[in-house]
Amino acid sequence: MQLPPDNTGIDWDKILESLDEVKIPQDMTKEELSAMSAAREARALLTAEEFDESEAWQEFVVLREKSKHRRTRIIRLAIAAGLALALGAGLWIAVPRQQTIQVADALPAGKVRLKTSDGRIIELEKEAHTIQDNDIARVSTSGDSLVYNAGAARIAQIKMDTLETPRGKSFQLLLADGTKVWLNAASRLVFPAAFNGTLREVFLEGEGYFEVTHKTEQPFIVHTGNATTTVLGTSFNVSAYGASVVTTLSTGKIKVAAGQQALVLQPDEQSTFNGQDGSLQKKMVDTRDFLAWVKGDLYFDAVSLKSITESLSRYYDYDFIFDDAAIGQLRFTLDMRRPAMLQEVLTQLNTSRTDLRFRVNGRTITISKQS
Amino acid sequence: MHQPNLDENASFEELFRQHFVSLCTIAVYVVDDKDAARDIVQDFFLTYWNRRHQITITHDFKSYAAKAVRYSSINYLKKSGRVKLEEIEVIEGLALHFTAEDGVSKELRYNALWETLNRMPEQRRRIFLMSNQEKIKYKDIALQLGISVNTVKTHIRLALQFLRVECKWMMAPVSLLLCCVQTVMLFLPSN
Repeated sequence: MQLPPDNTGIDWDKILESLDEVKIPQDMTKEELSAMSAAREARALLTAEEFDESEAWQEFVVLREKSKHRRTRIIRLAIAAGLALALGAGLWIAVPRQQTIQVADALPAGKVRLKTSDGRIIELEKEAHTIQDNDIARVSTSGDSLVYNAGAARIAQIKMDTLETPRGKSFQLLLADGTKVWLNAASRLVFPAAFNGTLREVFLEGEGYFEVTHKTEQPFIVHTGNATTTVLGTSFNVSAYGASVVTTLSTGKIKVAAGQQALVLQPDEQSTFNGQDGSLQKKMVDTRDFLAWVKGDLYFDAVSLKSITESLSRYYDYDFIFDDAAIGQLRFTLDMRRPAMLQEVLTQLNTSRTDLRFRVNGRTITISKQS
Repeated sequence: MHQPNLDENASFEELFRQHFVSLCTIAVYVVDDKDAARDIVQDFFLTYWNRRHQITITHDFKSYAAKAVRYSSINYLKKSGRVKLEEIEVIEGLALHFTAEDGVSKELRYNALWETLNRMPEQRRRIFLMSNQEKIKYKDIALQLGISVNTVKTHIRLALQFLRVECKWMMAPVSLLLCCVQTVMLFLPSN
């Protein structure tokens, strides 16, 4: 066969050889390299057309399943070898026989709402604005806090506003008397827009931390179910999510009363009013356990997984199910900034107990133990 | 900045389907082995899936994936031991050029390639495809078709020359290619 003249100076035999033998000749000119590259590219394009992405995807799904099981084993071995630190990021939630791994990264869906005494319901969004400005009070929000300033009027009739937080969101409130309230998630505070009476009274459901402005002539009272906390000026936490009311004092002095009983708390003391048997008791505590949430921390010192998940469900708006009630009795110590996503907390829990499995399904997390 | 929500299986699958074939092209270009290429790309996606919460892609997924696949393909060649180190360095240089986006997408190149192949004489196209698609050795093609090895080689050479002239992309990126290759050459052992 007659070959046409070729003025490129390319030694085509080299190129042909490289294609047949998968060898790269070493002394190639630039022209030859370019020709070889093009030939390889043509070959790659022609070969790749045989790849079928649907087939490959099916294959991938199977591979992924396999690797998951292998990985869990590898992790356990590695931890045994003392490599736990390096693994912080490598911990995975193994979900057997389930194609999709869900991760707990959903942000809370609910909104913080303010119901004003005149019946308006305002959803507090990110942007700052003034909600009310009249002679009773001026109210403004900056997205994660609400500020009340007393108006000029001194009306005896007390108008009550209601602030509600959904699960997953806490909120700050500056009351008209200068008292600061941190309202935890899934809580409600009913309070006057202005404190014009002889008492400063608020009503709490859920949990709140109060830094009360000192006013000897006008006591501040927090009503929670059947218990009341009376203060002159101090900071304390009241937690009343269930039937019990737990009041923890960090500074100052407060009086907790329930029915005929009353207790005076000193700093680092905590009272518990048991809603079931009506008892009221106090003890010394590490206040950090109870006040960490105010600072945006997660702090649990040898606390049962059941109580931890109760807090987590409020902070993150997730529900937890235990495969076996005994798992809920496992105790954990956790001290970290509260991350935006629950998944990070689960990963931390997993670092200390690698045999725990967290199965995420929507906003529900099922906790089981790996056998 | 493209950061797909990978926790949705659907969107990961979409990503997989969209890029699988073009990533295979890169792997095949380097390792010149279809099965190895498929494994390399599957492996890449597996790693990516497992680390999806740690990996932050600062540019687009496509160029990140291309780099990762190129890198593991070169690694595969090194481990396979069937290609000499200095050869690998040449391939690496060429692959750098191959994965660099130069405006002409792989899809357009692929279309142009077929368009040109279709304008070749039947027998030439057939031989070219036997060699480049089915990876049949020249001497086996010769046996199958009852022609001489030299005739097979001549057909392939003519096919390559035709492609080079007719298929613009085969010529276009020479300058870019050269600067890549030269960089690589600097690291070659001088003997």
